[in-house]
Amino acid sequence: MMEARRRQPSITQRPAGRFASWLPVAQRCAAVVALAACLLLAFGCVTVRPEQRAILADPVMQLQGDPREAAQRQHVLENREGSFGGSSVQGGGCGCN
Amino acid sequence: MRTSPDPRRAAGIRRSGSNHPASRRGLLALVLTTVAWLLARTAGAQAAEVDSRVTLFHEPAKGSSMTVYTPSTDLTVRPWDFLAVTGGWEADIVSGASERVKTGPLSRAGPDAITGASVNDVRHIGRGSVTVRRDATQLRAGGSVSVENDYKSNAVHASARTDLFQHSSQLEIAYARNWDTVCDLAHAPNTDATLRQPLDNSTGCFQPNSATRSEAPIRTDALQLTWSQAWTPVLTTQVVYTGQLQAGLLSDPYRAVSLSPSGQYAQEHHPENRARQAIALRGAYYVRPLKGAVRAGVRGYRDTWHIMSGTFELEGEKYIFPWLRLRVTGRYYRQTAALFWSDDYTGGEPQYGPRGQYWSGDREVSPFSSYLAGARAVGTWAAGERRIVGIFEGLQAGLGFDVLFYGYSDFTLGGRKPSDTTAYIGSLSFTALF
Repeated sequence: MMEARRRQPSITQRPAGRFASWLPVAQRCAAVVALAACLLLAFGCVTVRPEQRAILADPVMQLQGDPREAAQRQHVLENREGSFGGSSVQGGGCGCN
Repeated sequence: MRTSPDPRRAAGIRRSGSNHPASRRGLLALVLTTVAWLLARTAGAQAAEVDSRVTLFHEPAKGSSMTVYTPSTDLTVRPWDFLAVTGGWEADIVSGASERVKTGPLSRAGPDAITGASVNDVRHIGRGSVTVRRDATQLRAGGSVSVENDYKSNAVHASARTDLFQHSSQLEIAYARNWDTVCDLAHAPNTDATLRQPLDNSTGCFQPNSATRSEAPIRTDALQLTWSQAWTPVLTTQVVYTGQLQAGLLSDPYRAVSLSPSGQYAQEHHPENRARQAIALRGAYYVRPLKGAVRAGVRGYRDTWHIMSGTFELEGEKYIFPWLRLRVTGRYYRQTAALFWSDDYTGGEPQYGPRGQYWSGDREVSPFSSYLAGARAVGTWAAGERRIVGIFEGLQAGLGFDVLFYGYSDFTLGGRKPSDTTAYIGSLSFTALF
């Protein structure tokens, strides 16, 4: 069983051919960036005037609530999950290897 | 930034026994706090904020309960309107027990093979940041130092944010890098992974002349792009993309996995590289009749270990009194297994799952789902013409409680379902503005 295990390639190895196909990937990335730019310009038409921002500035409308409380809860959750991201990239390492 | 599979390792949870001097622990926090305080005094601070909080995580279980206290204190001063300086300290204080050798349902060994090991450790983090804000632009840079018996971490982060279209759109880019070091057993050169034994305690870690301990680096880079958009006076959304690269010893040096029916086990062996991506979409909508807001979020995640996950969150928050608001939270999480995950590596090819050159006893890379339900109350008081108690410009206190349920579909300890599948999280916070 050990020999069989050693013979198998690393899952992090990728076929060399994929690197040769960078051009379509670059084109796709360029298309995504162009689409995002167009959307962003379109969103310029959507503005909320300063005098209309009272509710948006209210604490209950903050998308991630209290940032420090959210960070501590995320710390607990990520310590038990295989995933990461979507909130903050800051961190001090958690000795959690 | 770094994550760990379970709270047992939330603070680098290893066995106690080392006698590292604690003289430098929290030193950075003390320095940063002092600098921030002096800056406030010399510059005639317009405002200073002290935030203290503690989070308690408790996981009751027969023989392997776990408790983690996480206290923290941060001081923020704003000597000028455009500048904010923050210094802080945080700790993870861990006590409990954990399994040392992971076996599966095919193991001939009985429950005795699942050795429980006590874990007690304290991790200290000192952190600081500087924020500069001008008109529609904000720049922030900071760093942190984390120390514990068997793990060291140095991290820096920087971000830039700008508002567009009369502040209706907001774009942010953030980057963070970690230089971490983890203690490991000093394996002989070229030792096959199947023959490596796990670390048994942290004694001797990070001592220059230790013949039994070695140090392994871990590098982490993370990039995050955020786009927030206000659509109407009561609707706002946010899209967040996060990418992360990890390289180094990404397995737990203390954990061993049973590899053969004869009982042979070896140190957990994970790939040394991992690329991770996540994209999250969240929104908040204010419901006028309720005098509160509804928030919803969804996140998708995928990495090069072939773990995919989805997260769904729903929150409601409203004012009970003008000074008191209440939030209720629900969260569902589900993930697939890593490509190399198996609940039992002793049964041939493959009886219980995929095989490869890696093996893991980590439930974090097994398929599972979790549910979270919680509530939090926050009271806020602002000073009028006179300061509160003659001292404070404002006060805020929060009290929260969450309960977590985990469902492991392909993770056992010697064929038995784990008993530590429920966890409780309590939090208490206090913020004062001077």
